[in-house]
Amino acid sequence: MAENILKINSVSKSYKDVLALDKVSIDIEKGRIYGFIGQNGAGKTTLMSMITGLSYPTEGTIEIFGRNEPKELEKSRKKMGTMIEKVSMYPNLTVKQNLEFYKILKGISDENAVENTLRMVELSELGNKKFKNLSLGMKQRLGIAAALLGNPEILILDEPVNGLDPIGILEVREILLNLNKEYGTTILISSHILSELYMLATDYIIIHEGKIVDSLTLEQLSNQCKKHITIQAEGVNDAKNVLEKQLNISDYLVLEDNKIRLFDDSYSRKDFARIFYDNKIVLTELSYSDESLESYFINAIGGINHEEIASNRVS
Amino acid sequence: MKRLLRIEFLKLQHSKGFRVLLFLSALLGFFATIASTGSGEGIVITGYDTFYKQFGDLKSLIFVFLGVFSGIFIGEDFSNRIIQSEISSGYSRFAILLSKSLMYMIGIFMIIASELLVATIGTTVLNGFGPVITLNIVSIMIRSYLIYSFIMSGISMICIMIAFLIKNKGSIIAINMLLLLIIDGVLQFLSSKLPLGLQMYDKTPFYQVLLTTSPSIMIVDLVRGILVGMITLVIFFSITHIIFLRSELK
Repeated sequence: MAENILKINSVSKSYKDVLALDKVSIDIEKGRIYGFIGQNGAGKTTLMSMITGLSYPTEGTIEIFGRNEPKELEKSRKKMGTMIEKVSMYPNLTVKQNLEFYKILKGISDENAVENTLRMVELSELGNKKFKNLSLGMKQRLGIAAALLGNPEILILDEPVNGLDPIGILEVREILLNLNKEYGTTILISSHILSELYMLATDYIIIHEGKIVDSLTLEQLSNQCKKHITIQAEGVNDAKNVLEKQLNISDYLVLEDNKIRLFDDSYSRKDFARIFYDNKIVLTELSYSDESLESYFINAIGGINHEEIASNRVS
Repeated sequence: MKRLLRIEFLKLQHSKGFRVLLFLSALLGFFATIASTGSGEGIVITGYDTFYKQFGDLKSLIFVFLGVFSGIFIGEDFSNRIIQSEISSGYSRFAILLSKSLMYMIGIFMIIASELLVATIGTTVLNGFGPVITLNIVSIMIRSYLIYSFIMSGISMICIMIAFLIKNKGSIIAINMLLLLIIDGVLQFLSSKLPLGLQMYDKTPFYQVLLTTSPSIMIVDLVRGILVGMITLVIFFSITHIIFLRSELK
């Protein structure tokens, strides 16, 4: 059985009258990469801040490595690498000095840890440059380097690729995938670049208005995002019979609500309508879909608020 | 805790703001030296006189330095998200507060020392030390410096408390600079107008900080001064700890 190294148990957070998180429960399994998806203000940073100890839940508990007492949580956080919102660095210190600071903070004894990490994020040549003189992208890389220092068991990264150019994004992805592969590092990462998360994560958690609206694995998402036809019929077993015996289709899924998702594109919607009609099976739904993570996310949060987009454009 | 102290020490070492304060403090010592040469005819201000005169002359300026230093040393740690990183790295808020307070106080000890040293050595070079330098005189001078700095550290906990409450560098500096001067001013005013005011002022570190620096102080007064400093320190440290524990950091 997979080990849950981070458990969020029915956590709520309210600021005066505003409910930022509403009974959020998440289980994070060791060795997996979780893409945390949500709009601005959905509650991603609030939750990540609570995991890292910067703020407290109003209700519920957070368990890291099976510990949930405040003192024990502090100990557990020593195995975490984090980057929440902005990069935490001394502006007047150099890149190297800043990482030396983190090396001491994390109690890393490896003399080469700073050099190795700088090499990993390709900042070796900028070791003597002051943090304040770095570009936004370089600052982000250094923030990621600080989080990676000492090979933490869990990485909590809030929008880590913000400000990075496409090559930078690609490099960060490679680094995170390597860490996950080589050391089994568990990663919880939020990003606005959904295509990036699609290429990186093994699991997805979608949060909207403080509630978890969906959580699924890459496999489940791939199935959702594959070109497919969804059928809902009166009598799911009869429908399955028709598919298997008359159409020789085996690549399908029966969903929880008795809908059938077909991934075989050798028949058109018209063909399906006809054959079910011929077999006296009443179809209540017959739809075609070619979803991306983006459209899946938009569907999961209940669609786009066009008025909001329009008002954002005006402002 | 050891790691946090090491980090705070490195921070102090690299802090430009702290170096500027040290320089300004030394500059004040230099001005005190210059001032000692312009005294009236027949009056010679010696190094020994200057040393004890500085405690009173310095008081208000040290309050200003405490305010500026708290903004630089603690306010910047909030704006640079260093405190947030320390929490995320698994350090308790108590350990973070303690390490910052200790290193802040060491900084204050150094700022006070740089002024006293420059003023005392400078004046001694120009006008001589005054009494014969004995181990006893030197140890009493060191005692005065240590107690003055310790009670100032007690007062500085008020600045640390404001810093952990406000978290914004500019506001911390402005509020702390004014706050200490206002508290001291009000207490002095009340003490000159009301007998109760004098009794109150007598029990505060703002008064004790000057009383305990006298070379001829009685042991009872010395102990009382240290106790007042210690109580101030403990009370404001505890309040700051509660504030910090309840803080939600962004």
